Amino acid sequence: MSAMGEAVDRDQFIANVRSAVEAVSRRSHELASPVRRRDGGPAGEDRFLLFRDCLEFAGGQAHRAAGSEKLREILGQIIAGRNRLVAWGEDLPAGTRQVLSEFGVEWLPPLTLSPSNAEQGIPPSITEAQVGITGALLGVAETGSVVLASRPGENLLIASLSSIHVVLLGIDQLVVTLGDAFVRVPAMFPEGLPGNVAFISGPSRSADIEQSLAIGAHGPMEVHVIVISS
Amino acid sequence: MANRIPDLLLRSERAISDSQLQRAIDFATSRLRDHRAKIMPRMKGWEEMREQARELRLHTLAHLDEYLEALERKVMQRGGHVFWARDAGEATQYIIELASRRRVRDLVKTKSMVTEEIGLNKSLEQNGIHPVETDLGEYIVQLAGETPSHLIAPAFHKSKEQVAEIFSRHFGTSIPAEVKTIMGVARKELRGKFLAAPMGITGANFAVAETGTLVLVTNEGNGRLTSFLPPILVSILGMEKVVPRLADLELLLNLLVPSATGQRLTTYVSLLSPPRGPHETRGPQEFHLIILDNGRSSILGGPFADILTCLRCGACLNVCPVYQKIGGHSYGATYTGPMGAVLSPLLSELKNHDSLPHASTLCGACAEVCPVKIPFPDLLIGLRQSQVRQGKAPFGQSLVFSLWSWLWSHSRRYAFSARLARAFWPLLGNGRKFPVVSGWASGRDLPPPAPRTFRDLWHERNGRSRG
Ligand code: SF4
Repeated sequence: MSAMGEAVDRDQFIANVRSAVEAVSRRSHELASPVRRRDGGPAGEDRFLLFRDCLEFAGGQAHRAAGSEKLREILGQIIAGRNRLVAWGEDLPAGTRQVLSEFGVEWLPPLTLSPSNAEQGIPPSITEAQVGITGALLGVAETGSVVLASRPGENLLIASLSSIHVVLLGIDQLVVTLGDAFVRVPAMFPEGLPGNVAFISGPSRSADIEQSLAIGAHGPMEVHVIVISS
Repeated sequence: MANRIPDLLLRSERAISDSQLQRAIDFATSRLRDHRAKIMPRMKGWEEMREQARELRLHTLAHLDEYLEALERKVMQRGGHVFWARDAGEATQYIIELASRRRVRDLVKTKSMVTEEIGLNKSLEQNGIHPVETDLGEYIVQLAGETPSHLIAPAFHKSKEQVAEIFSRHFGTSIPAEVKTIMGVARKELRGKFLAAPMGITGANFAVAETGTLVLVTNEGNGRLTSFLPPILVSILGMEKVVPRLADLELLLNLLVPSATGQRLTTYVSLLSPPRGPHETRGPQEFHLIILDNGRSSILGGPFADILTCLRCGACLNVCPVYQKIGGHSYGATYTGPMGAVLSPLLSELKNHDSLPHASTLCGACAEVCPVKIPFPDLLIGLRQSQVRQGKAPFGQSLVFSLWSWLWSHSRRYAFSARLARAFWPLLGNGRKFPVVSGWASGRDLPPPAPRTFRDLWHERNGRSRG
C-alpha cells in the first residue's frame, strides 16, 4: 500500500492548504499543553456521589453496592422478573459473576467465540436481550459516563442493543474529569486505541419531535451503573 | 437556489406569516436557550475555556496542513483509506464509485451537515443508491422530502401531527400523533436497517491527528450503530475539524455539548479508530476517510478564517433575533443563522449567497454565546464591506450611501440637510415614505426632526458668533 492517501490530486490539495496558512504567521498561535484540572477532585464516596448526581442529570441511575448481598438486591429490582438476560463475562469486577449467575444470565462469550463465528451475524441473545450486563474500563464522575471499548466488541453490542443496560464498576474505576479519562484510556492500550471507544452517559434520547425529550431512541431505555467495593 | 436580497426577503416574509412555523421556531429556540442557561452554573471557568479553545482552534488552522498529513498517516497505518476531496463533486463521486464496486444499494447514514453541504443524498439517489437517514429528526426531514432547518434540531419546524401524517403516509398505516409511538415506529424500522446495511456513512465532530481517531457526538445512539454495525464505514470530514491531540477533546467537548443541548455530555461520544483491529470481533472491516476542502482553503488565511473555528453547536442560531423570526429555510443555504450568514457566502462561489451577511442586526448576541468566541459583528461587517469594494452592492444602495456621506461629511451640508428634512417632512409621509429606501423605512419609525436644532440652540445661548 502506498504511504499516501488517494485523491484526484492529493498534492494539489495539500499545496492549497499550505499556501493559505503560510499567508498568516504560524507562530501567532502557540499550542498550549492540554487544559486539565489537576486538583484530583473529590475522592472515595464523595466521588461516587458526584458520579450519581451527574448520571441522574443525564437520565440514568447510579447504585452503590458495598457487598454481594446489596448487589443481589439491586439486581433483583432492576431485573424485576425479566428473563432475557445477557452478560459479557470479561471486565467484570471481581466476585460479581457468581451473583449474576444466580439470576440465570446467558453468558457471553460462549467458549467457542472466535472472529470467524462473529461474522455469522449478531446472536439473538443480544438483539433480543431485555437486560444486558457489562463491565466498563472507567466511569467519569463529572459527566456520569461509563467508558467501554470494542475489545473484542460483543460488550459494545450489548451496550447498544439491549433495552436495559446494566454496568458493573469497581469504585476504584471512577475518575473525576473527562480529561482524566482521556489520559487513562490510551494508557490502557499502549499498542493503540481500540477501533471503538464509547463514552455512554445515561439512556438513549431524542428531542427531535417538538423538542420534547423522549427516552430510548436507538439504544437502551434505561442505564444503571452499579458501583461496587472491591 | 438563487439567493439575492429579494429572494431572501420573499422567503422571510413567507416564514413570518406562517404562524405554525413562528410558534415552532419560538418554542425550539427558547427551549435550547433555557437548556444552555441551566447548565452554565455547572461549567466552572467558562470564559477561560472559551479563550483556550479559540487559541487551540486558531493554532490548528495555522498548522492545518501538518495536522491533516499527520491524520492521514495515522489512519493509513491502521489500514484505513484516505481520500482528499477538493470539492463536492470529487467527494460524492468517490462514494458512488466505492458503493458500486461493493454492490451497495441501501446504506445507513448519520446526521451530518457536511453531507448536506455536498448534496450527497441526491447524488446517491440519482445513482440508484438509497441512503437512510437514521437520526430521528433527519429521518423525518428525509421522509418529508425537505432539508434540515437547524444545526442540531433539524425537524423542529414540524409539529407532531405533521410528523404523524408523514409517518402514516410512509408506512401505509395510521400512526397517532404521540411522540413515544412515533419514536417506537422509527426505532423498529431503523433497527432493521442498521443490522442489514452493508455500508454506513457518518460525518465527524472532530478528528484527532495524534491517533487517527474520529469523534462522533450523538444522543440517540444512531451514530454508534451506523459506525459499528455495517462492514464498510465511510466518514466525511470537513478539513477544519481536525484536533491536534486526544487530550484536547476534554476542552472541546466541555464547550460544544453544553452550548448545543445544555447537557453535561451527550449520551454517546464515540471515539472511532477504524477499521477493527486484530483483537476485535466487531466493527467495520473497511474504512474510508474523506477529507473535504470544498472552498475552505480559500477562507483559510484570509480575513474571515475565524469562521473555520466553528464547532457547529448552534448556540448562535438560538439567540439570533433574525433567525428567531425567519427560521432556517429562509436562508436558502445549508448553513444558517449567524454562522451560516458568514460561512455560506464564503464557501460556495457558485451559489450566490451575498444576501446572507445582511440577515443580521449586528446586535452581537451570537458573539456572546459562541463557545470559540467568533467575532461576529466584525465578520459580518467585513463581508458587507468587501461586497461594496467588489462593486456587488445594489446601485440604489451605493447611490444613497454616497449621497449621504457627501451630505453629512461637512457641517454646512449637514445643517442644510436638517433644514431640508424639516421643510419636506410632511411630504415624506412623516418619515414613512422615503424614496429608494421605502422598504427599509416602512418597518421603522423615524422620529420627526426637532423644530430647532441643537446647533441653533447652542448659538443662541452663546451669542451668534460663529467662532
Ligand atoms: S459560530 Fe459559535 S455559536 Fe455558532 S454554531 Fe459555531 S461554535 Fe456555535
